[in-house]
Formats: sequence, structure tokens, C-alpha cells
Amino acid sequence: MRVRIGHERHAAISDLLDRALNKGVVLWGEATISLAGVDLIYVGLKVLVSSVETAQQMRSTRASDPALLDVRGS
Amino acid sequence: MTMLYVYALVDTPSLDGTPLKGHDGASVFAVRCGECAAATSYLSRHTIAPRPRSVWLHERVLDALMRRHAVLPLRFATIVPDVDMLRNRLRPMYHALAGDLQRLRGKVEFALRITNIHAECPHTGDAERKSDAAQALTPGTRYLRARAERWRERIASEDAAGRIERALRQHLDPAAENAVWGFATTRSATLIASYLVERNEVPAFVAAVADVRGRHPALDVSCTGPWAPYSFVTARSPEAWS
Repeated sequence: MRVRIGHERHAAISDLLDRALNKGVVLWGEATISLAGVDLIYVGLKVLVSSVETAQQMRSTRASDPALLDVRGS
Repeated sequence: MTMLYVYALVDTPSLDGTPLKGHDGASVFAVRCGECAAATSYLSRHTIAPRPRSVWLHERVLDALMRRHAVLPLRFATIVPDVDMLRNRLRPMYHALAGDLQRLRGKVEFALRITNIHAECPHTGDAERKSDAAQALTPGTRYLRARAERWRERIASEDAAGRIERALRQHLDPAAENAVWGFATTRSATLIASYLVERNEVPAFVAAVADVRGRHPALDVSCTGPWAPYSFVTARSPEAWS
């Protein structure tokens, strides 16, 4: 069952992006992704984390949508 | 080079039910790790762009998995070179992951956004800013006054958000297991909340949201879900904390 109460499709996309890009289980530290300048970033034992392009797209997606903010604390 | 895209961790060593299709139409399969498994599919690329279509596909796989298993969602675009590397990364996190799976079994997440909060808790800071007298001030004084006004507006927004949060939680919290609230003022003051809800309590929670909307018609309350419990995962790799 997918519940959508009083929202537009934009809200569902924003909520999904907020979660899928910012939350969930993280296997690798993200700080390393910000070390741009190479096409691919490897951490620790040569583990591919993400491309710089992907990291930058994530950041620009978040920057263009005020709803895509980290929510911390309660 | 073929990579592994990892969608989620599940609480059983294998995946039950109808086979699922992941990115690029590849089959989703389980990589066993102790008593749990990672739901993965092969990916013929090193990266995947966070376009809405790809993120929705990630979500659809999670949604199907959630119907059959307890699920811990991995962050979008978690890609590993091979099974051994995946197991090596999961091994030190195993106890934390197993604890999260146990705690989150049978629970889903709902997202709430509450905007237009000043309609319910107005503040009066605009009058001073717009006064004719302010226009006669020196640029420096005008700047400092505007800055002070923005600061007052921020405080007023936080006060309003706090009052609204407390009012809404009275109605929503009893129908939920846990909640995380946040406040953003990037463009407009917005309250954002994530609620962890037992699957069999979903109708009660949805009814509580509808009740809140009825009690606070001036607020714009949106609610989406159920999502995988992204906001309530606590297990992280050591590097993720750095």
C-alpha cells in the first residue's frame, strides 16, 4: 500500500530523494567523495564508492531543492 | 567490468518470492552474510546517476523486498566490485546490522512535511522592516537592522515550529514507534518529520495524520509512505562516522 495524503508528486520525489541519497546504511565514508579531481574515487582496499560525477549530481540535486536537507536529532 | 549494486540487507539468507528485476533489468539475488543477506544485482557500469527514474527503481526493489522480509535500505548508488569485498565490508558491521534488522522488523517509515507554519503562528517582524523611517537610515545601519530582523524572523519561525511540532506530536506519536523531527528555513520555514510505524498500525497513523490536517487547516501537511525505514538505521561503517 502506498499512502499519499494531501501531497503532490513533487513531495513524494523529494521525500524519496531525501532518504535514498542521504540516509540508510552507509558502507563507506562520504567525506572521501568530496575529494574531487579524479574520475573515480576509491576508499580503503580499492573499493569503488561512486564517481565524482555522481557525487556532484547528488550535491546539485540537494542544493536545488530546499526539501532535500539532512534531518538530524529529534 | 561487472560490479554489484547493493539495494538492501534482509533478515534471511535467501530472497523469497517472485524474482525481482533491478537496474538495467538485471535479476536481484542474495549474497549471504551470516544469517542475513544483501540484495544485489549485477551492474555493467562503475556508477549510477541519481536520476529520479533510477532512484524510483531502487525504491521499487526495496518496496518488493519489504513485503517479504525485514529490510535495511542501503544508500542509493552503493556499488561494490565483487561479493568478497561486500562481505568484507559487512562483516565488522554484522552485529549492528542484525540489531537494526531485529528492531525494524515489521516497521515502515512515513515522511511528513509541514509548511505554511506562520499561517498558524504569525509573527509581527515585518512592520519594522517596512517602515518608512528605516529607508532614511545609513546603509550600514540599514544592513545591521535587516540582519537583526532576519535573526528575529528565524527565532520566530523556530518558536512557531516548536509549538506546531508539540501540537502535532500529541496526535501522531501514539500511533508510531519512533519519530525524528527537523526544521529547515532554506526558502520557507518547513517542519520535516520521519515516523517509524508498525505495519499493522499504518491505518491508525494515516487516520492520525488526517485528524491533524482537520485540526490545523491553515497548515500544509504532506505525508508520503510507507518507505523503507531509512531514517532509523543506526549501523554504519567506521569510515561513515569520519
